Amino acid sequence: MVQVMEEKQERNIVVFRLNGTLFALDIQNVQEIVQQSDIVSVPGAPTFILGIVNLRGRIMAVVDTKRLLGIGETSTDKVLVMVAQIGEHLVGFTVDEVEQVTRVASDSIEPVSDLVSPEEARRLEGILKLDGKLVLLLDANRLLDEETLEAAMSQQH
Amino acid sequence: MVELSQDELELFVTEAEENIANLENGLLKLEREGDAALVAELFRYAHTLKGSAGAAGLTEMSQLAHAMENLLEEVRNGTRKVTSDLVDTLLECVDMLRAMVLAIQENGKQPDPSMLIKKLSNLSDQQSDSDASDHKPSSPVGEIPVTLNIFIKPECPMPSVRAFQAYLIMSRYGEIVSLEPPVSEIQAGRAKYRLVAKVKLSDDNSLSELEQELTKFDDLVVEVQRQKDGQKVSEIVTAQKEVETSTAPQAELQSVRVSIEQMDALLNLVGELVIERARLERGVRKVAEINGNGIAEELQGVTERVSRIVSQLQESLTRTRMVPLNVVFARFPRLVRELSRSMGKRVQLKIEGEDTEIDRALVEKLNECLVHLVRNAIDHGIEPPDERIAAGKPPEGLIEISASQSEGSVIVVVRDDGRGIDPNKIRRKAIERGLLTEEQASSLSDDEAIQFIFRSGFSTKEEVSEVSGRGVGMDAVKNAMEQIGGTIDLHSQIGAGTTVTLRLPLTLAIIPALLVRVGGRLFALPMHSVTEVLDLQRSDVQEIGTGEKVLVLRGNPLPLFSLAKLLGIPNGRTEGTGVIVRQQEKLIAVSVEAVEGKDEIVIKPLGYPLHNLRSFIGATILGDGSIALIVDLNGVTIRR
Repeated sequence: MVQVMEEKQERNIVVFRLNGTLFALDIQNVQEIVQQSDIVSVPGAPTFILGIVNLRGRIMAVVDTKRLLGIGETSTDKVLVMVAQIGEHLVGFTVDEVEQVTRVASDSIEPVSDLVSPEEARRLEGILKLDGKLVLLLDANRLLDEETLEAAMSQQH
Repeated sequence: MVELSQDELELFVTEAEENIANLENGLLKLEREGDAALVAELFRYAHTLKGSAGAAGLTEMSQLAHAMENLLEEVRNGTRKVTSDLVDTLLECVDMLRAMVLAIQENGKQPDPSMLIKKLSNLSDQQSDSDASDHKPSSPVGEIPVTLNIFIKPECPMPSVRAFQAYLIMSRYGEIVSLEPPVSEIQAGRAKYRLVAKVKLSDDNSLSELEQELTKFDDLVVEVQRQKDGQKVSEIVTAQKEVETSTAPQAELQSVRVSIEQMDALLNLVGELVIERARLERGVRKVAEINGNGIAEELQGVTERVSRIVSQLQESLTRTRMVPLNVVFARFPRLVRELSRSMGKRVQLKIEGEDTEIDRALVEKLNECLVHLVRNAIDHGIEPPDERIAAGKPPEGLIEISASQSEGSVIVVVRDDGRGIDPNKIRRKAIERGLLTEEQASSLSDDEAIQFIFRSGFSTKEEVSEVSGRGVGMDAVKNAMEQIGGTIDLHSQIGAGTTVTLRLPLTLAIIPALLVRVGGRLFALPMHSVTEVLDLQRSDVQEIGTGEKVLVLRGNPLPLFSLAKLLGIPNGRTEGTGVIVRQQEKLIAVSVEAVEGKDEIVIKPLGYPLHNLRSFIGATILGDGSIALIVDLNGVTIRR
């Protein structure tokens, strides 16, 4: 067979669970995963913001990922927070459980079709199958962009 | 280009930037009030720049500076008049020099100044052609030698080398009549920490140049004595003796350069120290509870001293972060000149209080606001000359920027004597935009109506001009000010002009704050907005109508709000303490459960995406590691 010129692209992703659904973020966007117990709520913040935490002397906002994605809400006691680098910002995202860190072929990530609402499709980079299960790959750069924030703010007021 | 070390490069860039800024300021002044001293000053800046660029191997920059020097020389000897065109051209050079320095810093491609150099030399040629005969040879060689006492500071690693360098420089400027110690001694490496040279200079002007070139070495101190005939040399000798006997250098090193990153790192450390201090104090208090005397007492003593030292450290470090407002104001003469010319207006700019200092972290935002306000003043405020004359005003408009410090704040005022803001125009616009009904608009006082200028998307100038732009207007300025914990206040009178007052905090990093308990949690209130704390039980609180409260303070009725309600947090607890705070320049009273104390707090940003939250300027980490939100009383909306 003729050798295919293009090198097979691979990506490292962090797969995590939220209310039974599998999601993933590119590992480039994930700095660490920490257990947090004292999350301080911020009055007047968008509802999808769980609060702020003291991350080694730095204040970081923690997003209730379930609320952000519209799939329920996180109970506040003790949560697992995935610290993500979005642009130049550090933001924490709550997750129920981290499933695995794995390497997948780029071409195994398929574009989001009509399976999801356009609103949801905006936040997704694609969908892939891992051990027979569907994983939604989130687009870190769009997860909290202006549009999302504006939509969230307008819902609130 | 000569390979410069990182340090040398930085030094060169800093010096070049300083010289370029001086050139620019001087040129702007030159157009208005040019005098011989100023021209000489400008000449010196160009000359210094030429020298240092040459030494760094930046031939093109050196050539450009040289061409500027030539033009300035013609101004200095009276063969060229100062015109707007000349200033334009020289300012063009300033821009080019800036671009060149920037390219060096960023390792980018050097812009090519050859066209500009040509333009300058053409200008020079035209002039010298017309009065070639006027070109005087330099003044006759000075008859009286000048005595130079050159002191080499003890920290100079190789005094002989430095002495020899000084010798070479002096010999370029004239004839060295005598030198002590003689050259042979210097060359043999036996130079002392002083040099006494008698030099016959080639002309009078070169003395200051020589002096400047010598003092470019940080470890040289130069003293000039114009020696009259018959003057005793003993004076000089005593001077030398003093230097020899005292180990201290003649002139102390006045300052050192520290990088901003390093400063910030230090400040962060002090911030951590402040937090740990609070933790230590808490710990010692606990020990005192268990062990009333003995070890606790001793610990308390130590803790107190440590606390005091930390406070002082923090204070002096914060002070080092302060920069004079001159760094912001310096660019405005140029901006005003350019804008007013492009709009056919005549504007004089007055700047006052540029020595007032603010936190470096505030500089950028303040600058943003000022650019906006000054643009507005020129575009909307100042009338064209004919209109001003018709209104009985001088044709030249006036914009004043003044800064001062008061009560822990920096106040910056931008005032123009233009046409002012027409409250009726604002009313009409507000109705058009659906912000007000006809009735509401007419019930507003003029001053209240004018405040609508701060609403977002509100702009009254019919056509969108290139200068003021669209959409962003005064609301952007207001937002920027609020983000840094400042306020903005605007007053205007039709025909007389507009005054905008900006109030900024002195520093952003560490502030004194009142810790209050609200809804069972701790919040911090910046002390600069707190005026007093009182017991509500013992105060005159009156209920008006449907649960609205008024606190009568020394006969002054102040609205009283629950801070919990203002912040939108549930509260079922008794709020027995009242705090009087300043909100939008007015006093209001807020009730809290308790005041827990006063503390120096380190402000940390809330982080994305909470950076735009208006109720809080940030959060702070308390002694026990917990977080307290810092309330921005100006950002809290009043709702009951």
